[in-house]
Amino acid sequence: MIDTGQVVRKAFFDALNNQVDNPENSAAKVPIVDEKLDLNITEHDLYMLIGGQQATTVNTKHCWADEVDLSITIVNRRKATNSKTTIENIATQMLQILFPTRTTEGITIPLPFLLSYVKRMNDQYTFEKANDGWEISKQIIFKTRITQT
Amino acid sequence: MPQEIKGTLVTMWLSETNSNYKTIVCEDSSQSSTTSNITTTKTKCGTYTASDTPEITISGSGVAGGNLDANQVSFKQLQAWAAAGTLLWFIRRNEANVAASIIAGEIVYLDGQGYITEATETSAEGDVVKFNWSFTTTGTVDNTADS
Repeated sequence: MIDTGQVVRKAFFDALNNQVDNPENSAAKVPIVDEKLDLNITEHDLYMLIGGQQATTVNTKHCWADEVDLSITIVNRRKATNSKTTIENIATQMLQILFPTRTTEGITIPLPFLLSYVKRMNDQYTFEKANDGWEISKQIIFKTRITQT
Repeated sequence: MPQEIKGTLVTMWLSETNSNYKTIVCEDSSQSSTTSNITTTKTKCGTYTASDTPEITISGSGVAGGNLDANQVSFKQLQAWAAAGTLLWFIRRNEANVAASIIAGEIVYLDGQGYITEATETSAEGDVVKFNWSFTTTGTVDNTADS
């Protein structure tokens, strides 16, 4: 049995890294970062943050199986000029990458894992008052089911 | 003290020919139930009791999948057997757990013949394809594993 933590996180990172355009700067991409880098990303005013992760065991008698919930938060720290629109633009790009069609997924999982599905569970906006304006973020929870033999 | 084992070790094997048994995949849970009826008749000469032939039903649930191995049975095959009323041979047993000194069939063992009496598939939005199955025995059922 192999831990599924990193393989799921990496799949989302690889799918989204350098793939999401910055709606406010066509020459730039929106960076995606892991939560362990949170303290180092204050220089970015717009980014995607891979956050909380939780795995639930759903084994069968023939294979190991996990359902992994992964949180990705789109953060906009543009303060006084902030709006939801920018975040929603980024969310749309993310979803189009992760769910290119109704029945396919945009992430790949290497063997010995097999991907059963990815689905968006829910999302939520958060507003935080900062000294110089507002920080808006949108957290999206994805559930990924993978098996391993 | 009794040695316990995981339910993972208990599997159901089916065959049309009493050879080349195949196991149901991917089973996540299954159970067997043996029931019989006792008839009691009170007379002036005493009370008489009689039991009928026990009925054994084995049922389970699982996640349907493809790319199966040669020794595995798909939901689709179960459904075909149910639709055709195919008489099958079966073995339900625990596999050996050498580390726990448990031999195959020591804790759970049944073999005999019967029919797939239910094959129900569920395909829900955003979930994997799941199924339920049920098997009802006919005739004599052996509960002694061959050593």
